[in-house]
Amino acid sequence: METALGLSGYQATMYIIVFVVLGLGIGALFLALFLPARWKLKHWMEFAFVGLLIVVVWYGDKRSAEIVSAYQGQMEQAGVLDQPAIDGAEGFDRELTVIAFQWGFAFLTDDDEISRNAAIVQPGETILFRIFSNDVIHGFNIPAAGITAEFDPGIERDVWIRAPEEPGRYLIQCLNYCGVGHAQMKAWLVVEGEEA
Amino acid sequence: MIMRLFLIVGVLLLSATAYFTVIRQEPEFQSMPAMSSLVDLQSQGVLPTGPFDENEEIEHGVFDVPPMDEVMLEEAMSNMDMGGMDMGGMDMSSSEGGTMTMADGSTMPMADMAPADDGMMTMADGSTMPAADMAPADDGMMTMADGSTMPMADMAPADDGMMTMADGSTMPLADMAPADDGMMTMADGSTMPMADMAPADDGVMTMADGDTMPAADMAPADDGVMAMGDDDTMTMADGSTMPAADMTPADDGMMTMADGSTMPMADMAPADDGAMAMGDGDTMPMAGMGMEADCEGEGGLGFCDENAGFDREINLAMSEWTFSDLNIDVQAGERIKFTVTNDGMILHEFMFMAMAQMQAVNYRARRADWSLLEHEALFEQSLVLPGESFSFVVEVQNTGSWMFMCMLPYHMQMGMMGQIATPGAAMEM
Amino acid sequence: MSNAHDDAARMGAVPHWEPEDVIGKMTLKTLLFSNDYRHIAIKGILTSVAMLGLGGLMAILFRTELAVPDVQFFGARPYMQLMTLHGMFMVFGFIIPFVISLNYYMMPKVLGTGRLLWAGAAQWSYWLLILAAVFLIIARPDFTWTFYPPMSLRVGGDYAFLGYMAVTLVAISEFLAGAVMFRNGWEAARRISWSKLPLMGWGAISEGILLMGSTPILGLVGIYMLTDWLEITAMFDPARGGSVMTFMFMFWFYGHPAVYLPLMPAIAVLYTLLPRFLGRPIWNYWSAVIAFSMLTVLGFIVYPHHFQPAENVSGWLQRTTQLLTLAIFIPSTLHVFNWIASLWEDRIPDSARRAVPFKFIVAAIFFLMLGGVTAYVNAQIATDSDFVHNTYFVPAHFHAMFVGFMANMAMAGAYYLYPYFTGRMYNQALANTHFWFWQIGIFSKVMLMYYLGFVYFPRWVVDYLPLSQWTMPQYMLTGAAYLIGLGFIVFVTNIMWSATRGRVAEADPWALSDDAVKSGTTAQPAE
Repeated sequence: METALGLSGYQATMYIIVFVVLGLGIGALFLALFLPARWKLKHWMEFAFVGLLIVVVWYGDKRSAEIVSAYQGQMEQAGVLDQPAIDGAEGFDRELTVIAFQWGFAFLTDDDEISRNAAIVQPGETILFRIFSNDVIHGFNIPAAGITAEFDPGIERDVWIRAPEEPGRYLIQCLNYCGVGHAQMKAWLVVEGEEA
Repeated sequence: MIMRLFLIVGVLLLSATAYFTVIRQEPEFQSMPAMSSLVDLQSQGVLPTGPFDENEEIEHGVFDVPPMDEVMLEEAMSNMDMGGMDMGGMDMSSSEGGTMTMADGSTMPMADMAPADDGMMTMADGSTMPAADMAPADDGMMTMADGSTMPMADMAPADDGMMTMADGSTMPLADMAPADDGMMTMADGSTMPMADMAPADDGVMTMADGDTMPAADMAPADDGVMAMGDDDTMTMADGSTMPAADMTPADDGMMTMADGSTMPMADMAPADDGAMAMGDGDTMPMAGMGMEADCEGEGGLGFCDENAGFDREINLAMSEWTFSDLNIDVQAGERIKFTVTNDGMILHEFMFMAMAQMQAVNYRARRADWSLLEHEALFEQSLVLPGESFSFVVEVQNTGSWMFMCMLPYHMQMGMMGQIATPGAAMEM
Repeated sequence: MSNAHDDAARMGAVPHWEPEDVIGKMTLKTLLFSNDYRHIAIKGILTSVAMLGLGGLMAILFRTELAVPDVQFFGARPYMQLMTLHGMFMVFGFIIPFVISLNYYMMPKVLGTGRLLWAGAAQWSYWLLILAAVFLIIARPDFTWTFYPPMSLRVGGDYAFLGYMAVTLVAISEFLAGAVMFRNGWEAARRISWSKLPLMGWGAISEGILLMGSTPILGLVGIYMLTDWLEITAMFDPARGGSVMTFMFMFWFYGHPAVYLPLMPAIAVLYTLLPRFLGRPIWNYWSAVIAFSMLTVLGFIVYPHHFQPAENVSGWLQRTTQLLTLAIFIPSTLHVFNWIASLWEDRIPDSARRAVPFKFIVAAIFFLMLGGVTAYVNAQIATDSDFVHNTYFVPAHFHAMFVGFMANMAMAGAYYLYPYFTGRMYNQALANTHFWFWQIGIFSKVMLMYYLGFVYFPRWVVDYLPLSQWTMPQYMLTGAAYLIGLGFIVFVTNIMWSATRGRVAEADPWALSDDAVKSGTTAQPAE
């Protein structure tokens, strides 16, 4: 799945790490319980095991930080995050202002066109969402793009995605409890084009 | 003993909590911020203040209407009695039956819309009836071309092609007599320019302007919209499909189709003697309709263009969770200019709906997919920001009552619904 | 090492208590007023079981609603009331008091003080919690157990203020419990010396620090919520000049240690019971001590990860939080390594394999690994900003921990102490049934929730879109919940029936024995 953060390869790696480590642990537990042969672990083994996990943790931190800073970097360079734009940096193909309220999303285009619960975009383009909340904490999640954010009223929260290539309608949902209408607070990300 | 004590106390505790949470369920509650963050950001210049255009394409293209709505609409219309309506908790129980119930309680079937040469319209059941002056009188009786009167109601027929009159009798739908301007009022109150409604042998209908369009099975659906298939397309005689339109042509004579495209319709200016010339040279007598070209709508409410005059003005303020006037009395034929302002702290929508339309969507009003689907209305302004206001002129074309509300999730259920009604037609709310 | 032998002597071989029908001799007066540690502990344990029932009932109810799409039984507000009460009763009412009560029962003998110091504070702690529970039931707030403002200031109806007051009462109750734990651990360390302090003592001191360090801020949060609601202050309400981030930093400063509040005592119980069942000391004493200490420190500084996807947590704060959150696996890994090594180093007596508490301990270790290792994915900002934050992935993690580890350990402790305060043994068949119902239910539930989180199922929704990847797992999840509920009913039936009709317990109900050697002699500590 194409995700905003570019996660697919990284995600797979993380899952494999989880399965391996978990497998080791559960395997050890079951062996300790059921293997007739007994094993007195040496103290250095604990250090070694923890050391190994520290390496794994270091790797996870490094990869995650790389991905996150690349993602934030896009916005920094385009001048979105409180710093002036860098010359020659790519801007975003489209900027949409999102107003989250109890209980729906309003999308504003640059031309002052407003639409309720529908954001219209072109396939594959980069879209910057400037998200504002009108009243309480809301969330903004686009499963197809693999991005989620939460934001408080009165501040601007910026996220960007690369729109899916495949035309169609994709779900946008609020992920923070925001009152009785929370479960119904959903919108469409509409990627224009001929649907296959 | 101690264990038993804990068991008893525990069971009591569980029962009490369950009772107060589950049996005596509390209604939705949401109070508002002291200040709208949106308004604050606008005043800081961070967000634009508008006015904003609504993107029409989105409204019609992106949000589907589930097929279940039609089923629910039929049920609602067949069972429009006062008792079945409990508006207070917005829990509109749907009714049984198969005809469309109109705002005033009558039900209407629809028929095949082909008037013959003698001004008689052939009904679905084969019987004929004379075309009539389409404006029912105050007593709901409509004068037919032959001078007889028949009780009329709002023109939405049921599946069996039978129209139930105000007096409870049923008749196959008739009278497709267009007004002077050649606009024919359809079952749901919308108007469309008439053509010779008898399709030629090849299934093609000749429009007044000479264009032809393939006739479809011209029996409009229960809500008066000519939507044929579930996907809102009309199957033409030649097998092609075209999106059914909200049969209200816009001012420029372009009719908007369900998919947002437009196509030209003919405008049917009848001759001086009130007879309309049909494509095939036949004429049919028309009666005066008393309708003006610039107020179009369905279901008894017409929404007028900007130049329209109006009889009075009403200012309506939206706030959380109510409108400034929840019961507005109107007269049939009256034109009212509404100025609706959002005096509240959050965004709202504003719409007019017929009672049946509301009942048709009630089954999914609390469902997770509510915001992802279209709820059809007689009139809609889909977003009104705090502090924004907008105006429109509405013409009350029939007697009856219509609801206005904000149908954002839970807004209506928490109180944002009112009605406009002609005398005697107000519903219990 | 000498302390390891002392450890074994203290825990591995000699039982500390004798079976006695303590509960049968309790009157209403002793139940309500006695400061005898056994009475207080029993009161705490039984109340926690009742709270487990209440929280569980809430879960069964909303699980029934969620079984299929569309809204069947509950409006949005009642649904969230169920959800909020479930969270609050389970965390504040069931799991924290349960494991602390187990500690109250065990500390006097295990730590050698002979009585529970500051038992009066423990008594107050109990009653304040009851008051908080009453307030919560009356208020029935619908603002989630983390009650984020400004939403939590604007929902909840007229009685919302009782909910905020309940939060402060919980904070005071927990503070007092922390003081008791710390005092008893400290006194034991003073008497015995730190290097010989049983691991339960180290756990008690760590728990005391966590509680006393974090609860004052929770108390403040509750007070500010009340004053904000009354519009006397505007700390947390942006519409009146406040800041949501203030709340986030304050609440989660408590909120993260909060998840270790039930964890520490549960681990302490594990360190106490495992040697008892195995007949040998824990594999490495100092490893456990380091783990307790590390978790106590780290537990206070990782809390921004709870609101990481909000704008403010960015740059160095985000990176540091990620690193520390990832690092917090280390203490838990030390514990698990210790336990598995203890299991593996020598024979596991058959008496252990038969013992229901031992089964629950093994299951607990399993789930601690499951929840802990998958948290590797939760901790990383990249994945958290994708499918983890506020999807079912988060409740999957904390249910694996709270239910899979801590509730299982609570049951292990309860079954272990049962003969000691009732004088009778529970019914083995019923207990095994309870065990298996729970483990199948908890495992299914946790795995289904991880899957649902991966496919972006949102939290806190009364209804959901009928997407195929959502509907079947939700349906199965409801089944898992029912199974867990059934297990609970079996448990309650067992403890009630056996209290008067169970087999009378022998002098040492947990005596080590191997079926080949059927001797009742005490086992020798391992070299």
